[in-house]
Amino acid sequence: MDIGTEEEEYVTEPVEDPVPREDDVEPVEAPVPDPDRVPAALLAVEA
Amino acid sequence: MAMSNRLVVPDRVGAEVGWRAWAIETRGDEILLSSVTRAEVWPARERMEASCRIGHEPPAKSCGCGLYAASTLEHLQGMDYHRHEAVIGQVALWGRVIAGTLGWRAQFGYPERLLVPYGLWRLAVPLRDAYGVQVQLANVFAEGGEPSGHRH
Repeated sequence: MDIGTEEEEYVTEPVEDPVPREDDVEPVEAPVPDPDRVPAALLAVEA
Repeated sequence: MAMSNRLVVPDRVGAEVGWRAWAIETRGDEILLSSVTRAEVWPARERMEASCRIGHEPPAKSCGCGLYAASTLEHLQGMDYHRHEAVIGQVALWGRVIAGTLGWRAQFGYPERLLVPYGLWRLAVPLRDAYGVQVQLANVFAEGGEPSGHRH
């Protein structure tokens, strides 16, 4: 990947840990896509 | 990377947030992100740590190692990732960072938000489960610009 001209080097720490904990996530819904947003033809192929 | 646990006083506070692409790797029932260009899986619920074959702590200015991200989606879209079945997303980068005019390479990273192409819609919920981040269906390379789509 081209990140252009490298200009600066430093050490930075996140304010909050970017890695979610196990209990950060809501229960998972059924993996059914919204039919209004997923083309019907695609769903037919994937089914 | 034994050196990464030593105490380092940061120069800045706050992760950088860039854009990158991941390939998909299936391990048994697990759907995981991996590097598009290298055989490196990004672990779920753990920070990804860059490695370097030379053995120094990445990234180093004298080397090309580190976790890469573009500073803008537009810049990422200008690269060749559309040739892969790639998941696009925003990634938090921290630790040792080298900033370029178009992006960063860094020591640590973790996905912040994932954009899954409609053609890979079955991966959306497994990826959200695995990484605990927001996942959105969007064909980034086909549509261009900031994506809008169905969120999981």
